[in-house]
Amino acid sequence: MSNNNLLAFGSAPFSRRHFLWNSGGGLGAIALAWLLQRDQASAAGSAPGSARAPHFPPKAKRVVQIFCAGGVSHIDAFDYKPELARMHGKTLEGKGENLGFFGQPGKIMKSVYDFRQHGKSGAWMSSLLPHLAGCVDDVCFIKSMFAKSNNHTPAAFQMNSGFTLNGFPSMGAWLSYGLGTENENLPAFVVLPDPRSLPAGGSINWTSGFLPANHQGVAFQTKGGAPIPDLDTPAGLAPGARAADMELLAAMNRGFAAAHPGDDAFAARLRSYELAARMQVSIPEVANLEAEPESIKRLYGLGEPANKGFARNCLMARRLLERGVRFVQVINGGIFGGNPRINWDGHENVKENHDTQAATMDKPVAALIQDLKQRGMLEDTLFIWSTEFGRSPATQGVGSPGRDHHPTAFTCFLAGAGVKKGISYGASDEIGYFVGENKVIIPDFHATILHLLGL
Amino acid sequence: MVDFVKDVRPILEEHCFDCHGAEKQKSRMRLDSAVGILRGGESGEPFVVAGKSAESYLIKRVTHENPKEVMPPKGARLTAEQVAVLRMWIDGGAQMPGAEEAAASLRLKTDHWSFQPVRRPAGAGIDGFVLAKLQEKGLTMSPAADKATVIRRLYLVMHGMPPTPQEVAEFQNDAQPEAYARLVERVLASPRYGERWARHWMDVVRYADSNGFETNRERKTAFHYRDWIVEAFNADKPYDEFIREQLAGDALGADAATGFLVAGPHDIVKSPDINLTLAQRQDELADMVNTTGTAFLGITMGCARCHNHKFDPVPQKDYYAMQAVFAGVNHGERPVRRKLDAAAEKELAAARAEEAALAARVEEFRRKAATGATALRPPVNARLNEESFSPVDAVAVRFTILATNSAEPCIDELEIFDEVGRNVAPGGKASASGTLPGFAMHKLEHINDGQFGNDRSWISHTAGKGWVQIDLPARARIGRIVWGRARDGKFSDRVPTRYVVEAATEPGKWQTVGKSDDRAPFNGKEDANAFLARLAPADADAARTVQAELAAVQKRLARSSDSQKGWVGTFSKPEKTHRLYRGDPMQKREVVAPDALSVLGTLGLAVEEPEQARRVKLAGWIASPQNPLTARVMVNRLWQYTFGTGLVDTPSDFGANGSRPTHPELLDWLADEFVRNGWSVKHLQRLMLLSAAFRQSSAPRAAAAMDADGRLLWRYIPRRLEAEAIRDSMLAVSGALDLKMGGPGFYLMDVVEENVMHYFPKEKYTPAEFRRMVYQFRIRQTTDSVFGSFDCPDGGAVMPRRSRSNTPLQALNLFNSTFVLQQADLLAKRLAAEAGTAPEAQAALGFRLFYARPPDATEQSASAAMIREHGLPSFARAMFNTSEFLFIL
Repeated sequence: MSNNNLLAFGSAPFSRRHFLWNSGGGLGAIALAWLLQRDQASAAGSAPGSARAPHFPPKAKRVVQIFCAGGVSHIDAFDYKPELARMHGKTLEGKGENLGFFGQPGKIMKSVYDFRQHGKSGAWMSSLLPHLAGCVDDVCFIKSMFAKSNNHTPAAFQMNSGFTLNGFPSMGAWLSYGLGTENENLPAFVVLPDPRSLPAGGSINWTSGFLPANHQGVAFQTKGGAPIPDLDTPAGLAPGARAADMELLAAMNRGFAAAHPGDDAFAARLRSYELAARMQVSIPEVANLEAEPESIKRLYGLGEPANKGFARNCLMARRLLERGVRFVQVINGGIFGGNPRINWDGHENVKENHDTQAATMDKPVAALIQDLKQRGMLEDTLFIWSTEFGRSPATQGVGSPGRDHHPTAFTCFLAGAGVKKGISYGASDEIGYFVGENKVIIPDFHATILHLLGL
Repeated sequence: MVDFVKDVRPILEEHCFDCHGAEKQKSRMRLDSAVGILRGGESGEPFVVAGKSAESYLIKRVTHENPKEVMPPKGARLTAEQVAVLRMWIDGGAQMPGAEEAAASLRLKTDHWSFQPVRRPAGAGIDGFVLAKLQEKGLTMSPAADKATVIRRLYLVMHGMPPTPQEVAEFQNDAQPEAYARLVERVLASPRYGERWARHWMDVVRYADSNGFETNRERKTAFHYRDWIVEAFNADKPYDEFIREQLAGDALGADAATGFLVAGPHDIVKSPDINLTLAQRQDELADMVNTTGTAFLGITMGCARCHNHKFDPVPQKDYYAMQAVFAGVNHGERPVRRKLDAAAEKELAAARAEEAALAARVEEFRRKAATGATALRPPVNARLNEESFSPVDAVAVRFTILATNSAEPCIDELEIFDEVGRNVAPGGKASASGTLPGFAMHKLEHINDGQFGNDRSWISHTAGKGWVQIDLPARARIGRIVWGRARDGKFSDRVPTRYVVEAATEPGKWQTVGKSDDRAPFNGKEDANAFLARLAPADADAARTVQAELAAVQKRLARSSDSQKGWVGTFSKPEKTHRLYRGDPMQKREVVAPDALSVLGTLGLAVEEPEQARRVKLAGWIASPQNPLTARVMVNRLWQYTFGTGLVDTPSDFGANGSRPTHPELLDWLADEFVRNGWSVKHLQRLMLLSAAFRQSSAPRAAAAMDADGRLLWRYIPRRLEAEAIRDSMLAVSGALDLKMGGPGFYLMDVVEENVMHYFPKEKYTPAEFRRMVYQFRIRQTTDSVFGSFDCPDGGAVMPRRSRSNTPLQALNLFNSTFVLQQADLLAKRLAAEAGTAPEAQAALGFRLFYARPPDATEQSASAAMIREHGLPSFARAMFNTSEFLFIL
């Protein structure tokens, strides 16, 4: 006969029923019961995602990445090119073939915003991002970024995974895999999509690729409702019935694990239910922004319609980081198509488009940097601001105020742990078309990030 | 005459040896030996081409104009005299001492195990080899597992679902010695077997039902290939045939099989930028080359796309030789021909005649509606419009657009019907006022190509106007014209809202046959059957009846037809394939002929070899008993899916970077056995399933200390079921499972169609979604809300081996998801219906369904008490979460 029977029934929590019921049922109550059994479980198998030591002492312990989908115009935001004004309206010459996506070469267009110097470092920033301009002394600009594709989805894949093709793990997944988690009650890798919609490529931007599924980013539902699906006990279930489910299950699974002492997988399953129970408490807690003081809400601009809900994501990011989440990816910008566009893809009119987008992104992201700094968290948190490519110095088509995709020179910036402050690395050429010096290809960018994390 | 030792070598010594000599070999380049000079470095560039100094990489690098590329990178450059010496040496034949021996030693060869011929070792079957390895470590196999465990294991491994209580009882009550062998035969003969094993193969070949990338459109006809795989496993199609048909099924009467070539993701967002388009095409071809390499040969060809393979004997040239095999393969749909018997042919002909007759009758009604009308016709719609008129003899039709609702007008197809309802436009010559340049999707020839939708449309070059004309292939008596912006309904911009349609009775003699003036103003709404409203009520009823009959016949025809379209690829005349320096499409090097891996031989094909012949030849080379990789790779996959881990645990990498087999003799014995028995997959599986190694207990033992992961097979290793098997098993035990096989897949996502597709997990499931998961319409870049956390791949890349992760999200999904709750309710109903009202009996049936065993006394009483207090659904929910249910033991 099978050796899988529930021999452990006698000592199992059937005897604890009374206690559980008095605790009101739900997964949380069961977690307590399982906690009592935890020594047994963890002796049998260590938790699958527990923290692992890096290769050498890291500067950064956690990462927050802002990803601006659609392609932010470097020459209208960060990369000051006076030469553009001089050449305004002229035909682009000496730059080889047109690299734009739609292949409609236009004329050179000066920046649609005014630039001036900011902070002690004197960094040039345009009037597009007034709040971030206040952070320039804390950041390191990389103005010589170079992407492989001028097409959104492959370029976004590359920024997030290093590859333009499907099937490779994303940055957060590597870190979850390489470093594990610091707080088992929350996922190691959380994604906060733009409340308006997912970006191009959808969940592949946070896929675990060929790594196990436990390393894939957990995308929070940011439009309201429960932050992750199936988090809450379904409304239709009576608390007593749910407690009974759990009780029977606990008894059976524990009995089963006990009958297979050599098989870590069974002990690990027990533990996963315990963690699930804790997530039922910890995720609503972290998502509860109402707990924040008014001053913080104001700093981020919570509830201001202009940011279209994005401020909530930035504040949530800080709360997640604070609680030990290893990698938080905050996405600004949604799916392609539609009118008006809901990302940075300013083909038709770069000023109109960037004005709207900047209103969602600028203040909340600047607030996040400030907030991390004032809490001392910027010391060991790596802040990444990224986009998949820049936008062309020439217009898209003659007479148009729009700019096409531009992968051969663009700007990203870093701040926080181990990053030199108030400097600018690399440069584009006189009009921001090609990299002028210190080219940073995406794999180099990723290598820098991993290095800061001790990998 | 230049002398190598006296004149050339000193130059190399002076400038090159520091980095490319005995001590250092940067870029794997070594210049102090004849072998090194002839082989060149890892770039794959020919270092010296005897007699052609200009083509020699040596000369290119020492004379390079780019300071970042010129050699040497530091220190003095070569003088003009020195370069001249090198040129003279190469142009004079590049003679050097030891050149012949060096060339002989360079002829590609390898001593890597997997490239050596398969040799059948002496030995006594699977158990003999397994026991021999165990004995080396002083271990033994575990005792046989009990019958209930064995039958459950067998069903989960072979069908991906547990046995029914009846099947278990039958087996347990069969005391005959060959009871198990008979059970194995029954399991192999079940259609459930093909479904389970097809799903494994779909992982290996990165199958999914959408394109991936930005637009991620659906491939609604990809399923033909999936069905072919299911059928191939069920029919035990010999594996060599299985390979040949997937690579060249168009030549073998198996069109659906070539879905293999185009099952991978592909980017349909193209740009006029030639760099991007060429790179995209290179990616498409790379997907085909890589998948062919990994799936059939266990070789990671992709590594040789940019340079010689760093671990395996695959020079960069080989990658492009294999790419040349696929150079004429394109993503897209093609008719999937089926062979029909005489009776079916006859039936088909009759149905076609009936269709024609009914179509003509509908046509009559349409004309009647057109002629009898007084009120305004319905407004233009984006999907479909028609102009019916009294028949005229025509040689040409012209459609002139006077206004649109936006931008340049677009028409996806202009159909011109004759009196009996035949479209006479295809084959006609199209001309137009102009065509929007630069878009492969929008071309003039699309106007009468018989294909619908935005991707096959014509767009005028002028905003708001334009004309398009079709000169008919032959004079015809026409009575109706049908046109639309996008018949699939995906677009509603660019709609011609004011227009005139004219027919020419003689060249140049035009008469107006339709116009927008008699239509209500454009309002963006649509109604394809608007003509019915313009008939007398009795006529309208009659027309509806005829239409319904026509639809029924057409549906029947679609089913029985000998040709449906399938996402199985299209073929075109290949362009020449070049080796690409660093894999860069802008840096073409020499032309490469289609070929196989040079280390294992050559196909001997010409550069101009016809497209299909290339694939036929490569397929024959792979599906050959002499190929040392093919059989080994497949038997290892069969082993992996049967025992949990392959003998080689890197199933798609048998190269130097992959693992070595734990049981090399066993692997070769199986490979030989496979080929000897006509490449029969079921034969191999029979051997595995009947072995003691498969039937032994999985209980933990002290042996774990010697071999913790159990690779030596001292016990059967328990493992978690894959996502699909968990879902299928839930449906099976709840009784909800729909065993309908084949055809279009079911959706676990709701689809919102726009220019790009949006997919949202379903919130409610209906019985339409209760089919086996192999039939799920699998959408790339999405994960199912319940089973995504169970390592279910999206087909973005090949997945030769599943992870078996364990996460808290799985617990939440299995406990709280709508799907599981719904199945728990269905199971509760089933238990109540089949086990009667006594909770003890209900619990007992539950245990039998889930675990193929009855509960013991404690389990039964505890479960019954729980059912009494909280009801059956509570019990069901707990059962779905138990480890015993989710694991193969």
